[in-house]
Amino acid sequence: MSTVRIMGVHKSYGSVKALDGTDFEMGEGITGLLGPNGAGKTTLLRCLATVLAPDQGKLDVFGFDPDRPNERTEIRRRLGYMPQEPGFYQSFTCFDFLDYLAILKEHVDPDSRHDEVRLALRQTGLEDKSKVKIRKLSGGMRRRLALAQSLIGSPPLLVLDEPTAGLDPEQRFRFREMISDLAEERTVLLSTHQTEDVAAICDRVLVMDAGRIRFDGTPKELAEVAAGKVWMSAERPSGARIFWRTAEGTYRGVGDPPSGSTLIDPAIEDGYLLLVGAAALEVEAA
Amino acid sequence: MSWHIEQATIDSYTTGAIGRASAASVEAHLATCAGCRAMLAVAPLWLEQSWAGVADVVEAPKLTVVERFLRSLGVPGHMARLISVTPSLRPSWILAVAISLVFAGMASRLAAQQNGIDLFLMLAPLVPVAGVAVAYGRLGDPAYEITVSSPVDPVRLLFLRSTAVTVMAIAFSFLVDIGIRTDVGTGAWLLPALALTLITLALGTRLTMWVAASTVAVVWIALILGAARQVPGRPATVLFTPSSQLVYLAAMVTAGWVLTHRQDYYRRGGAR
Repeated sequence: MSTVRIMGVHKSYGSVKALDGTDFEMGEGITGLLGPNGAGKTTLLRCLATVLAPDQGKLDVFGFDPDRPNERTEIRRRLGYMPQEPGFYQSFTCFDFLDYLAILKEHVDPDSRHDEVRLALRQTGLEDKSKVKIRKLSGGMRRRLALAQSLIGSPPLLVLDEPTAGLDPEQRFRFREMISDLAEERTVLLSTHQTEDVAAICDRVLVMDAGRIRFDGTPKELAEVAAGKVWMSAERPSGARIFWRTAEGTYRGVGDPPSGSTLIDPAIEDGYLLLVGAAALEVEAA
Repeated sequence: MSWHIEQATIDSYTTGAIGRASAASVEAHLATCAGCRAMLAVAPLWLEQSWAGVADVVEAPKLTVVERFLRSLGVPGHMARLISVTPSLRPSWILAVAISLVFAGMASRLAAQQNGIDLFLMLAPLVPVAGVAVAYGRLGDPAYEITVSSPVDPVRLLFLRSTAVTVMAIAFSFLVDIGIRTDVGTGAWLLPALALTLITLALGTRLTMWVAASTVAVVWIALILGAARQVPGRPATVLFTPSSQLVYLAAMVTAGWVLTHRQDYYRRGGAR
């Protein structure tokens, strides 16, 4: 059953179209949103988090319309939002910061509010950091704290904008573990550059490019987009557009197989590369 | 009491429903009887309550000076916290405001003797403008993006913080005005201060907040300097006549009307 519906949403910044008629629905489980820089992912997530109004189109979140102030508040009561660049009060401790945000989430009674804060700290493995000032936290800890604030009040909708950006492999693994634990009976929209995140934890994946949804399916189906288009070649291929030299000295590519190459099984990354092409390669290189 | 403590007595002790004398008796027995201590140790409610109490003492946020002051005025704890987080209510900001106003007041005292520009009248209306500019929005609030996605009404938060900052600025200005300045017209800066603050908030629905505040400040300073050139003997007083005060009142009403009609801009995360 769909909990979130996005219908023909447009959003422009001057002459730049960030969202160009974006449509999709999603329900419980983790939906991964993949796309290169500038694809419109953050704009879409900000619209869904009700901090940005679309120029055209409609959003429906748990049956509420964010255009109406009262219904917008109802959506916010059910929302946990982790922005791409969450800001922190550096002089606050983790507990202070979450306590303040819990007040913003209408947890007025101090006892129950402190219980909520402790639960969020526990869910993100930050119990032992509760009295540590934010300025002393590592990047990974701050990402966890940002995730913790989104969990206050156990919201049924989580909107997470690149939660694993800038994390080392071990931290990314921990994050995936946390998010997959949290996703039970929740609707989670996870924006990411990392195809590995999608392969590891998402039930469904959307690929976005130039403000539009270019693919909507399971991670397996995304990989299958590149079936018969992923190849290995001992020689440097001429005419192929997307390829790279592997550690073994062979060439691996996506697209029409050049002569003399061998077809191999595609991965999600291959399907993604085939869909968004050069734009995705720029992101991978970055 | 028998040789061992009865369960009912243990329950009364753990919930605090027992007299002091009986409690002392229970404690004396517990000190020597491991069996009864074990009964006490498995009282889950007591343990839970005790732990929550200890955890709260250790973890709960310490009250800031502003928070304590607001609570002493009867402001509820959660509201006091929402207000005290305002960047322009932090001690460093308050200190900077106090120092600036004191220096402006002293300069104004000297200016009164030498027919110079009254710095205090120039500065006092701009103090709440600067405070409001950083009180809410991306400019001063690092957690703004999260704040605006929360169910608390952003307009309410904006007004709550703006009011607190404005009241603080006005209180300091009055103290300096009364204590340091010698010029007549105490409080002449009040309506301009309120008008400029409301204009900043109204412009903030169209412009980036710092651009709105800077525009207001530049226009105000230009007006003061212009008035000083026009009436060299009594520099800025032309801007503080009774008829000028009516203009400020009209500006307040207009800016308030614009703000009321465009308040949803702040609700959608528009404060920049």
